[in-house]
Amino acid sequence: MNDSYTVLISSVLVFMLLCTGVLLFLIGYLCGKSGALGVSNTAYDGHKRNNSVTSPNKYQSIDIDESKFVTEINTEGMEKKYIELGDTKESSEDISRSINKLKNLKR
Amino acid sequence: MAAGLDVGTSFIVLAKDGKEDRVVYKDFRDAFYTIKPSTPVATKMIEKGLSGKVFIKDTDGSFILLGKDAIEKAIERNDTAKRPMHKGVVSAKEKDAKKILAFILKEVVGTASEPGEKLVFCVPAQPVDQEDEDFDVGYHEDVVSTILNGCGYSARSINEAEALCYAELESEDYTGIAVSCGAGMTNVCVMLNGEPTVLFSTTKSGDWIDRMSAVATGEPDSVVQAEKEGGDFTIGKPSDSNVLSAVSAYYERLIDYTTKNLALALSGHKSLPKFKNPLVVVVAGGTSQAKGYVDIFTQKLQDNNFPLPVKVVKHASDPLHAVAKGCLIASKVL
Repeated sequence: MNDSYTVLISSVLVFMLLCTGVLLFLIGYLCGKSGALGVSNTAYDGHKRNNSVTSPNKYQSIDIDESKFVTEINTEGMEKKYIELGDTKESSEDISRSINKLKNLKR
Repeated sequence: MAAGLDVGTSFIVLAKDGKEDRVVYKDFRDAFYTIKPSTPVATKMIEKGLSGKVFIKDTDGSFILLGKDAIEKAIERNDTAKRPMHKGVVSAKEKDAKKILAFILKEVVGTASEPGEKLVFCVPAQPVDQEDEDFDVGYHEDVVSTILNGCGYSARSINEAEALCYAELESEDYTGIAVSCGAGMTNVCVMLNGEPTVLFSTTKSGDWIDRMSAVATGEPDSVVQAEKEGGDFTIGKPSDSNVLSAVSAYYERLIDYTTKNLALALSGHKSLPKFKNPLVVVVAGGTSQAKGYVDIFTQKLQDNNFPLPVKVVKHASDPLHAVAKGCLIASKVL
């Protein structure tokens, strides 16, 4: 009778131990997920903190200005051989009304 | 004081204030033709032969004819005059393009009457049918700004068709559509109450007609251009001249192409406003001066299911100077 009692107690103790272990695991897992314990989920985090060279974020692109540069345009030395260039014409239309109307619209 | 400048592939037009709010225009043909003498004797003879023409003598001893004299000389020699601009922007292929353009612009605009005088010049919009990597509006804008700022102006740019809207849509409270049909490109602007809402361009215009007609008839482009500009023809109607018949046919194809692109670009465009009333469509530019242009354009808009209601398609009052006038207006407002 003593033997069966001992076995029973042992079984209960083992069962309680197992449950405690599972419970502790679950608590630890949930706390770790929420960050309540201040533990990072990133693997090799300690290694990165000690490493002074960090890899660049491969998804960030940096643009370079590839627009064409305007070099100096030198027209010195080009000798004019004419008196007047172009045809001049005076128009009879008055543009002041157009200017005033557009100024009012743009306000 | 202020000024407006239309920097076109075929013509450069300056608009400045005249007396009593009138406008004074100065225009010049944007072309050049180089003659390189082979001997010192040839140099003297050529210079004598060019007397009375508009030309310059370059540092290497070559003679560079400018403007319509360049075109006439090229035709005499069964050749084609060169141009500093190609398809609306500074030509990347012409070695001397920047230098010649700089020279012509400096001569046309002169020195600013006061330091920092405002000058607005026009630039084309990004084309919807161009895949050429050499087409660089930003670079063209920088080159022209550099030249004009060097003359003492405070230069800024606006879109070519936007300038046309400012010149021609005053009676419509600056609401409507402008189509600027130049030599190199066709530029379009849809404007609502003075604000441009849609801007785009196509690279088929007057030069395309010249090129296709030249191939069809076996004549140089310069000859085709001269006959087109001086000839009496109506778009869509045959002519006694082979060149003019070809030009007439290609004109019709060009208008069809332009109106198809217009309809496609505006159908379902997210920036297109909902207009309450039918719109005025104004056309300008040298290429639009051919007889029958407005009639055919109106017909093709209908045939190609243009998505907006059109009140009327009309020609600018002064098709060659309208863009420069719009730039001048912009220089006093913006």
